[in-house]
Parts: sequence; structure tokens; C-alpha cells
Amino acid sequence: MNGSTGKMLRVDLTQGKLWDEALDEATLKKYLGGTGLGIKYLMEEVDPKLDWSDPKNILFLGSGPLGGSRVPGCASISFVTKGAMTNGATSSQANGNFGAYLKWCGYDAIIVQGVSSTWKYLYLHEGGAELRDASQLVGKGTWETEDAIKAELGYKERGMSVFSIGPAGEKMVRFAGIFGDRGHAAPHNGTGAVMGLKKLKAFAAQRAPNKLQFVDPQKLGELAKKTTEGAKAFGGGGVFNWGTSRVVPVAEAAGWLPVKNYQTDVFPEKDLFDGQRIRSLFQSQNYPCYGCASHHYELVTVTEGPYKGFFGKEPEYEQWAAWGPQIWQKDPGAAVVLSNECDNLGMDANEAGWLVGWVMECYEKGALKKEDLGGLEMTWGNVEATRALLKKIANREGYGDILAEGVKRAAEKLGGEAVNWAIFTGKGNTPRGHDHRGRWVEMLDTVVSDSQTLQTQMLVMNKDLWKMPNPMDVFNPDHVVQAEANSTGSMTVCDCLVQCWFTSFCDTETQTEAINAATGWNLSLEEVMKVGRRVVNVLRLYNLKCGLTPDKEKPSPRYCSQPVDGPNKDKPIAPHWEKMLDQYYSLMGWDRKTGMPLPETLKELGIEDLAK
Amino acid sequence: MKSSVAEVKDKATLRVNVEVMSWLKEDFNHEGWDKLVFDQEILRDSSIMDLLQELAEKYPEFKQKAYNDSRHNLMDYCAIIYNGTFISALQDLDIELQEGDNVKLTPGFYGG
Repeated sequence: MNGSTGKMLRVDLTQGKLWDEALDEATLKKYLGGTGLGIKYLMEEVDPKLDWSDPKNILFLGSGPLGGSRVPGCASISFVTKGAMTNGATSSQANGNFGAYLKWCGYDAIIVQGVSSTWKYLYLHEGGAELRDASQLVGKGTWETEDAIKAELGYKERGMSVFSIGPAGEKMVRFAGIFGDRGHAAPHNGTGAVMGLKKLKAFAAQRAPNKLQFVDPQKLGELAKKTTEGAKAFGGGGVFNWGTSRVVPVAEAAGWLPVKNYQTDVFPEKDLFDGQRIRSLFQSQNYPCYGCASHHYELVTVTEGPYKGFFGKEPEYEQWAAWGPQIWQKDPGAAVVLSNECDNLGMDANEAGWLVGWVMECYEKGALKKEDLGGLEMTWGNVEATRALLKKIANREGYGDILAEGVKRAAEKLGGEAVNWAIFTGKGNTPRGHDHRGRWVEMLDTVVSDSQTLQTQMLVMNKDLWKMPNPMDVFNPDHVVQAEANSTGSMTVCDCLVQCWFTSFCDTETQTEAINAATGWNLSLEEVMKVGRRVVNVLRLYNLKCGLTPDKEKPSPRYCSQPVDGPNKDKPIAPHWEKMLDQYYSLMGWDRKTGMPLPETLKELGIEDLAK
Repeated sequence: MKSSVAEVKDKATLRVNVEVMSWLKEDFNHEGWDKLVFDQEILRDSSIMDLLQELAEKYPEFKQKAYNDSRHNLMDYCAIIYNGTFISALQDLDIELQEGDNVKLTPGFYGG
């Protein structure tokens, strides 16, 4: 099949069996791949009433029709499972190389079912796939695991892609993620906890020879170039040239940098975290994903301060935010250390940042004391105490065991006023590392999301195509709702193709051309857009059955509080919230009371049968 | 008594403080990570929009990217913070500038 290997790998860990399963073209056309394919199988195979920790939960990982091609950003991988934070559907994507290598090894996707009695890792290679003993990897961090597997199997740095869990995943920390290719992450909603449940330490895929067939390779090559040129030009090329490394001062200026657990929006040291400064002072080395020419991803050696000599991955914006302003920490070198140690332990940096910031506020206000925290003095910006606390959380030691449940559950357990200081959503999923009080579209998106990550982006390549208000007032509630509802599915298309947003910027037109050049399906632009909306609605149907009902679609009090300073201090979202939800449901074609997609919505998307 | 040419010019214009941030600085021919802050002289009664257009005339790369790219509008490309307040509505660009006002320009980035 053009653009597809035509099969996926089934792995039954309970029985230790592996087998191939054919993929049919009609299903691929309906869901494209990645997240779409994953939610289809989750819906069919995992009873929503089961707890995420039930052995019958599955872990899906998949590429899309452009995976393994030269179209930039399409070597990413999407993980789908019933997640630990919300006990509902999740889809989380990681960049890197795994999506391409997976397809070159002969599979579009993998479904892992059952639970192993001993620790294993899955090895994919040109000749097939096998489960291998991982007992020697237990307790190792994600970077160490990557090194150890490559050494054991004799692969060079880029000759293999490894995605693994760290100690946090092994201990089923609820916000454990899956990490690979030197710090790329699929961290949302406890994907790593599900691997820990299954006693599956890692996925390792050889860079096998590319034998994929595409229907029009020349056209696909032209579209790959067009995608690169689009990424180079979009928004002035800042992301192409710098990735997200230069966003901290930008975010502070516009009032969406999370500072001191949302207690202020002013971070005087913001310029120290400017990526241009970092890349001038620290030693940086480009480490691109397969097929991508951007400077989004770099490795870095700290060259000044107390952590001079530390080598790791350059933090993404959200990691800078978590390990800098959110915990009132002012040394970029220390942020590099905390970011990499959090990755190596295998935890979502966003949730970990909200958690540590909340602990620091509790410590400042006396709700948590040194003796509660195993002797740690969790003062604002205390780097060494934070390093120690992250280890306690990952290993579920002492109070770390409670914190390992995530900030919502930890705050609710501590009770009292401390609940009002925690940043979370009613469904339990984790906001990105922003102060969404300055980004209303993303707050709405985060709270209503059924993928547990973004379903849309305000910055799409073609705003008219997705009927975004233009010009848009980002603090006008009507504009916010229209932008969110009308463009919902734009990010989901990326997640079904498993294409990095930083290369595509939701350029659905070019994506459609590329799908057709790869597969020969001749899908229309409208059909591709409809796939995005279809998948959003399937995710919703599944989550409603999991009990994630509309009453849970609320930001926590701190999350939607009015900023006390900064450029958005006079712009509270809370007074508008309920009306915004009313409008959003109406535009989405959902019943306001039950949250169910209306019959006409289901019919339009061709998923009537799934509502039963 | 007639005013001198310099005095007339002084009364007819005002100065605002402009800071350009992050990769937007490249449009203003500025390399390096140090701050780009300058005073911009502009006719009295000018609005924020007038200031932006004046800057666009002075800096062609900014003009090209902010005004002449069909994929986005000005406020997608460039976020504007006026005297410490984020400007989100197009009509607020009509605010009349005063002597000593601060205008911060930063990439209109919504990702990360």
C-alpha cells in the first residue's frame, strides 16, 4: 500500500506473543494514522469503565501516511492509551526519529496489550520484532536506557531510535511520560505510567533501509521543500531558526509566562533565558529530527555558573518556564540541569513544574513544612532541594508518593486553602507551561480537550480556512470561542499525520497534497479537515463513557484567577467562563447538558455507530 | 515673536520609547541578544498604528513581514504592549500616543 506498510504489530505481554495484523485502506482513509488510528482501537478494545491501571488497557503507538518520507516533521510518533491523570483517552506526540524508523522496520503502528511478569523491551529491526529481557535496565534513567540498549545491540547514535520510561514510569507515577532520541517526549496524561504497568521499559527501532513506496515521490519531494520554506518564513522564521528557545522573554512581555505559580506575571530575569543568549554563551549542537532542517532541537553544555560542564538537551520553552520562572529560579544553567533530570527520571515537565511551584508556595505559607518533605527546604528557586524532591517523586519516597499523584490529587489530599493554590483542570489533565490567563484560547482548549493536549492552535497557516476570527481580539470571549470551536481539529490533523506542528503550522492544504502524493487517495481538503474533527469527536465519545462529563470542564481557582500584575492584569476570564462553554458547545454541535455530540454532528462525521 | 524652526518641530512632534524584542529585532537590523531600545520621534496626534507604519517605512523587512504577508495580519506577527498593557483589539491601535509613552513589540508567537 502506498504510504503505508499495510500492517501493524500486536504485542501481547501476558503471553509473550507478537504477530502482524493487516491494516485496511478504508480505515486509514477515515483516520489517516497516528492519533486517529489509536483512538479507533482504544474505543474498540478498552472498556471505558475499566481503570487505566487494568491489564486490559492498551498502549498504541503509531506513525502516519507521511512517516518515513522526507516531508519535515513526519518522523514523530503518537502514543494513545487510557491515561493515568484523567483515567480517559489520551494522545501524546513525540518528535525525533521513531516514526520513520518504525515504518522502515515494516510497521505503521504497534499495539501493546496485557502485562508482562518480568521487565521487557521491544526491539524492532529489519527482520522483524522481538521482546528482550530488560531486567538490567530497571532503575535506569531514560538517557541511560537509550545508551544501554544501543550498546547492547551494537548501534551507533542515530542508527537506532529508543523511547523508554525512567524510574517514574516504573513506579507508575501518574504523570510519567515516554522519552527518547535524547529528550523528545510524549509526556501527557501518564503514558509512561501505562508502560510501567505493563513492565515494558522501552521501544527500540533500528534505522533499517527505507523500502517504503509513495505514489508520487517527485511531488512529495516538492511538498517537502514547500513545507520547509513555509516553516522558514512563518512568523518571521523565529521557530525555524531558534525553536522555542527564545520564547521566555516574549512570553513575559505578553503576559503568558508562568511566574511563581501564577502569583505574578513579572519575571525580571527573563532576558537571561533568551535562547540567543543561551546559544551564544553555552556550547550548542544541532540535533535535528529525521528530515527536518530547522534549529528547533539542540544539545547543550552549560559553560558558566555552578552547573558548568553539565551536558544535556537544551530545554524547550515549556521546560525553561517550568524550571525558571514557575519556581522563581534565575539561573539558566540550573534550569538545564533540572530539565534534563526530570526527563531522565521520566516525568512530564509541565506537571512537575506546577507541582514543585505549588509545594514551594505551600512551604512559603506554612501548609507544608520541612519535616513533611523529608527535610527538604522548598524555598523559592532552591535548585538542590528541587533535584532531591524530583527523585523522591520519581521513586515514590516519603511525601513524594503523594506528589507522584499529580498536583490536583496532592492538593485535594492536603486540603484547606492549599487547593486554591494549585494549577489544574477539572478533568485532571495538565496545562502546558504557560500562564493561560494571557492565552484564553489555550485555556479553553486545555480544559475541554479530550486528547489531554492541544486540539487547536491559534497560529495556523491559513486562518480563513479554519474560519478563525480575523482580525482576532484574543481577549474577546466571542472571538476566543469561535477560534477554538472553528479550528478544533487543526492540530488533530497534525497528530493523525504525526507531523510536528513546528514544521507544518497546521498548513492543512499542503498536508492534504502530501497525503495524496504519498497514498494516491485523492482526499479533498474538506475530507482531511473532517478527519481532524472526527477524531476530536471520537475522543469525546470515549471520554464521556469514562465519566469525563461537562461538569469537569472547569479550570482550578488559581488557573483562572485574575492576574495581579503584568500586561493582562485587568483581563479576568472567570466571569466569562460559563457563557463561553455554552457558545462552544453550540458551535461544536454538542449537547450542553450531557456533552454528547448531537445526532447530526455524528452523522456528518460518519461515526453514528460509535455513540451506542 | 516667531518660534524658531526647532521649537515648531519640537511642539509638532513627541518622542515615544520603543523596545523591540527577540527575533523581531532582526527586522530592525539588530544582531545579538542585547536589548534594542530607542526613542522614536513622531508627529503629535499620532496613534499606535501611525507609529507602526512609521517604523514599517523605516525598516522594510518589518514592513514586508508585518504588513505584506498574506498568511497573517499585523497583530498575528507582532504583539504590542503599550505602557505595560497588552493590546489585543485592533481598534486600540487608534490610541493617541503621548510624550514618553512606552511601546514594546514582540513576536506574536503562540506555541511552545
